[in-house]
Amino acid sequence: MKKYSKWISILMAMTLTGALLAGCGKSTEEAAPQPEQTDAAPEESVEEGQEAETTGERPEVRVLIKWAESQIENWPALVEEYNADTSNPVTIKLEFYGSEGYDDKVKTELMGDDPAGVVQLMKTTFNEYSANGQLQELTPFIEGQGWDYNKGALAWAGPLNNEEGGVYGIPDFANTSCIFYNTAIFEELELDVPTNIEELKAVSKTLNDNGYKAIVTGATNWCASDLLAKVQAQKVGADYLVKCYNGEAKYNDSSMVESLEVIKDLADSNVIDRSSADYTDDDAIAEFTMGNAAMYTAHTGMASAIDAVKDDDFAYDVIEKMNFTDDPKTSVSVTWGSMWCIPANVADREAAEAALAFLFGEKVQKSDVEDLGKIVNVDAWNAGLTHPALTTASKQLEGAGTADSFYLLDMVSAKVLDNMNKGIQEMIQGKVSAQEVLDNVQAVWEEECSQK
Amino acid sequence: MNKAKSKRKKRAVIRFMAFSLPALVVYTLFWMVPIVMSAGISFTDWTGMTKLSESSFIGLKNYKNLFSDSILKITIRNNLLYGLITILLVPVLAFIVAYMIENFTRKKALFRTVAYLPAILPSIVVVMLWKWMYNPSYGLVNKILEAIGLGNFGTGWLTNSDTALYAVTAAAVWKMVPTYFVLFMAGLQSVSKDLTEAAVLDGAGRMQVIRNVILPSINRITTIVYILIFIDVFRVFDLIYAMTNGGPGYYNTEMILTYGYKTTFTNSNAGYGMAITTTLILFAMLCTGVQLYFQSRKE
Repeated sequence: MKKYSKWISILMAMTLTGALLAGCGKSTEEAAPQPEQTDAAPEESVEEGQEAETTGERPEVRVLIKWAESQIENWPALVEEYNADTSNPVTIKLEFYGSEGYDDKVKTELMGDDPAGVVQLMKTTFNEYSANGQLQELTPFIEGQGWDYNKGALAWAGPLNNEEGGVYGIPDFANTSCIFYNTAIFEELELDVPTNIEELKAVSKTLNDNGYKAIVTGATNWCASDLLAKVQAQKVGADYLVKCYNGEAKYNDSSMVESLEVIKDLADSNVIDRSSADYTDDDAIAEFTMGNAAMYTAHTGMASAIDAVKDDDFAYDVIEKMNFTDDPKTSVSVTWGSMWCIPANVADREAAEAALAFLFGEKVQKSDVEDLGKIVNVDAWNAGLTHPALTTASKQLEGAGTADSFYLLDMVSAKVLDNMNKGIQEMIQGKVSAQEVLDNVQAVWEEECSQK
Repeated sequence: MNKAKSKRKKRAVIRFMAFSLPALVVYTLFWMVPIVMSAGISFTDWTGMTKLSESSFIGLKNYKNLFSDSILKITIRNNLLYGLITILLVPVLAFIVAYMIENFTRKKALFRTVAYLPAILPSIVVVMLWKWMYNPSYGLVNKILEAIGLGNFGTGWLTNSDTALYAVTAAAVWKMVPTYFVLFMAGLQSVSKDLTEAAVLDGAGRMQVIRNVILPSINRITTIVYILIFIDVFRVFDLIYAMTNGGPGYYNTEMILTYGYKTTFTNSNAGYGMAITTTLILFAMLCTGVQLYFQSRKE
């Protein structure tokens, strides 16, 4: 046995070397993790696809999607139907990635020479890609489609120093900053739905006196900042955040501090329960759906998370009108979710636009409203909403979306946002003041600018 | 004669190459090349979102910025505190576990396996396990505190700014101890029985045997353990990233490496992120070198 062990070892070492070398030389596309793919003819091989292009058949447009297929489960069937109709100019191939590794995939695509025709970008990276000139300007395309978009939808669809107001991405759907409330608790205590801070405080006192937490939020995630987004939009407006980004104003200005003071005041007066400081969104939703807290502040997108864990008889809605100041600049604060973009170096722009026109055209968007409960860019298409909370949010949004209503979370750098979230959490814990939070934000922003 | 010798030598070289080539290729491709590349990138203003060729050389600017980065200061403080606790606790606990299994158990193989389990668990499993234990509503830690009448001390261990760093450190210690107890175990088994028996016959107590016979005998292993833990301290990433993502509050569990990662990939400042990680590598290499130098002088 000893005689053979040497040769066995050598054989194993050679096998390992061979296996290693076998991995070299493959294209990045082959080596990269394969996404779930859906198109009209899934059985069609790559070679066949290439042949189709060269023989003048419809070009195929790859669409990179950050979500899992389950998050837009209506799309594959619609796309299949579209692809089957040979009168349509292109075929669409949906590539679902899920969150894992998606950002790296997009980076590689956008840096490469043959990117996908359409890519989905989150706002945190969209601003930078558009600032780098890596995305197509879409104004003529959108005008050409004749879509009657909500005024706010395209207000900031570009880099944060977007002086020309160019549109570099189509917003996916709208989420508004909101306060969900448990309708049963409100009915039980005969409470009116509050519309301003004084009424909110009075309602909260009654709730506290009856053993309920008033408002909970997921302060360890993002949702505490959603409330600030609304206060900031009402008191200061999104335009101010752009000025901060461009060095023309400061985050720790008194108007911004005043906005954050509102949140602090709500925490100090027990409207926002201090235990929220330690909550994730899941914890906050659990408190809300178990009936321990009467209200939950987040954005309307969290309705699906509530629905996923609530009992069948749990009923809730969103507060339709909540003014944090006497003369609000806007009644809603809205984020338009992710952006759907065409890379600047796309090989076939016309084909990419055709795919985008279908995905954000009336048919798919109305399906998103009816099947997924999304609030989409065209107010009229939202008529099919059935979820009570989302219907209310959609009503809030009708004609109310303006540039000022744009979300704070989308108007700052990722680092500033992270710092702001962390600061708000410590503020709810009672460890820092509003001024300190924003001083810190400004300092971090100045550091970030000097580092770049 | 000479011909036969040279043939033997040639064969030995070929055999050496055959055995070491796979490891060498893997090590060079996946360790050395990225390290050298990231060191190079640290001298540029590359954001990580455009082609590297579009970036510009900016000299030492990224390294200069390290000194004025307030978040980096917090991460260094966190890393040092985390390091201090792990360096103090892990070798001691690892030695105790190894000593107990070696001297006080009959079914050594069983205990060795059980004690080693945390080391082979994937980090994400460890994270899930400890997140569940630390959960403020249904976590085991709070339940135990309640059961022994200390319910008032219960908190969201990972979400409370005051406890989060210690909570993740405890989880890290739990995962690290088994890795190093194996090394101590090997060391203990190599200690000559004659020496320990002679010490006992001379009237030495258990602690004296440990202090004067066992510890000096496993000196080299102890040094290796400390060096490896020291490197581990600065390599900490997965546990923190998955358990707290640097939070809660103002970067209370942010470590140098998680901050470097976020700077590179989330904040799109790859040049500066690489400067952070390159400095960290150089620092770890320097400290390890110093440690080895003093150890060799001592010997």
